[in-house]
Amino acid sequence: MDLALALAATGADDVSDPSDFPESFGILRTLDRTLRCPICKDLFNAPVLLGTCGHSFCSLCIREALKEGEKKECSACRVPTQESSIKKNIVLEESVEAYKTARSTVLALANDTASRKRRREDSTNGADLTPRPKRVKRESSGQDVDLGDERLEESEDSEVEIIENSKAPVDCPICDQKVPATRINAHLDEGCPHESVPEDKGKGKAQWAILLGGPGGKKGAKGGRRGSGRERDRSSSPPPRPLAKVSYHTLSNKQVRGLLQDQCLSESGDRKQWEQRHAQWITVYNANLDSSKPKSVDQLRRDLERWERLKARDEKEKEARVSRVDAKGYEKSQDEHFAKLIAQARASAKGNPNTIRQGASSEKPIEISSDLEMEPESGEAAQATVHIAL
Amino acid sequence: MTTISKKRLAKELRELQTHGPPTGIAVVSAEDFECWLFTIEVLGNTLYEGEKFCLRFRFPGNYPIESPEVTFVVDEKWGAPVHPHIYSNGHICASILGNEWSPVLSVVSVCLTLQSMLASCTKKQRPQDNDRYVLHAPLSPKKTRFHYDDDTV
Repeated sequence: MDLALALAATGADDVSDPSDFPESFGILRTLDRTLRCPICKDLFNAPVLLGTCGHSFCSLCIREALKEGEKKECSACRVPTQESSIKKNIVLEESVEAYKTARSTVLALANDTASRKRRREDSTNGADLTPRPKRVKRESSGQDVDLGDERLEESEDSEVEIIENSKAPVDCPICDQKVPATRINAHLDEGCPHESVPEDKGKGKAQWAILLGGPGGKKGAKGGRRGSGRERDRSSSPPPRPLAKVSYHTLSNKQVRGLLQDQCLSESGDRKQWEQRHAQWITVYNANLDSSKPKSVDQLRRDLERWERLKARDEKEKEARVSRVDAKGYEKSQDEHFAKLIAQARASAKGNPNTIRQGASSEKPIEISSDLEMEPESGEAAQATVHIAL
Repeated sequence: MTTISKKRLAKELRELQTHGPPTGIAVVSAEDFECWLFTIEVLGNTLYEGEKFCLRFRFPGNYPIESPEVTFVVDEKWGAPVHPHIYSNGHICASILGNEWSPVLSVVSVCLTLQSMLASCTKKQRPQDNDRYVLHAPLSPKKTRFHYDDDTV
């Protein structure tokens, strides 16, 4: 499996994931996971809450899911819902924004701690490499075991460990410099180099505080982002309203074009494309309204054009693939079967003309179960309604 | 394929790499974002003890909004398990692959569902209408409208 190649193919280098955090930080993985949309598995983007059940998703994700599904239900719990139940989840958006800024720092801190711990373990345990398998086991069972395990492994310097966890700067016993507790061991190992961290450390501490709900974090969030958000809300003229959905089948071509013109969208393509374009526009436009930092309408139009281009390319590729499979593979594999059917049909045609109907089954798809209605879906090849009764 | 679906698949792949697939599941190939192959076996005391099957996932451009197409590979090397909901051409009649699909589900959760579907099987038999269905089945099971009415297996 060539993961590197596969990941590179996404063209997105920001494929972040809870597994970015080292195994020994199961708590942070959990935290990271809870701040991700269950549909796109990305950190929430313009999160919304479903009033019917309380689950949260990215606005665009849940709108697309509700549009696609036959049944309108919450993707997480299947409770029936509808688009009007979508409500902005402002607190969650703030949390995610705060987490986004803190994430890289937290990640660096966690990785740093984990790698130093590993180094220390390697050096204290020498040839004995048993802690490795333990670590794997502990990861899935969560934080409690993690801490217990840690104490077992490092009982002899447990005091140092506790100070380390407090993240407070300590005086180096050799050179009397203030050194962050997280760095003191490395500092001593490296023979007391000059420490130049205070600025970065302060920032890191504040960000830890945001995550852990400490006083520093709360203050920061209130004084900073949230305040400015409110001001902006107040200063702006009436907020833009969401666009209403349209049932296109009642409209004439001219009316659909009119809808596109109203939104300054392109009128290229056929009627089907117009409808898809307009429907997608409504989805992205409404989803954009749920963001506290909405994109400009022009940007949205460009995104829509890009979406359409990608979709067209996809369909083209798919068609090419299907026709390849159809023409060669299928015909060859079914050759024998076709021959048998032809022979059967000839035989029965010669014999009793009444039996022809059975032999002609290859001409058209037959309805297998008569107690179910067929879906009037045109253009599909063989449509079989299958009834399993057990 | 839109970026959203690629990104989501990349994350699932990453998850498979770091955590490893669940017991009894192994990745055969996942080189692009269109088709992945897995082997699946049911461990423990079940009707399928010692048997191994190959699952093929095909992802549509708007995955995970739309469900993936999941079938058992049937060729010279692999066969479909004999199960009341699995046709001999590898098509699977499972509601979560059809109208019960939810974008919250993932490749791993589908694998686990199928594993448990096999594990809870009490009698190895093909679906009642297997022959009839296989003769006329479309290439993709997603074009079939299955009727789901048996919750026991």
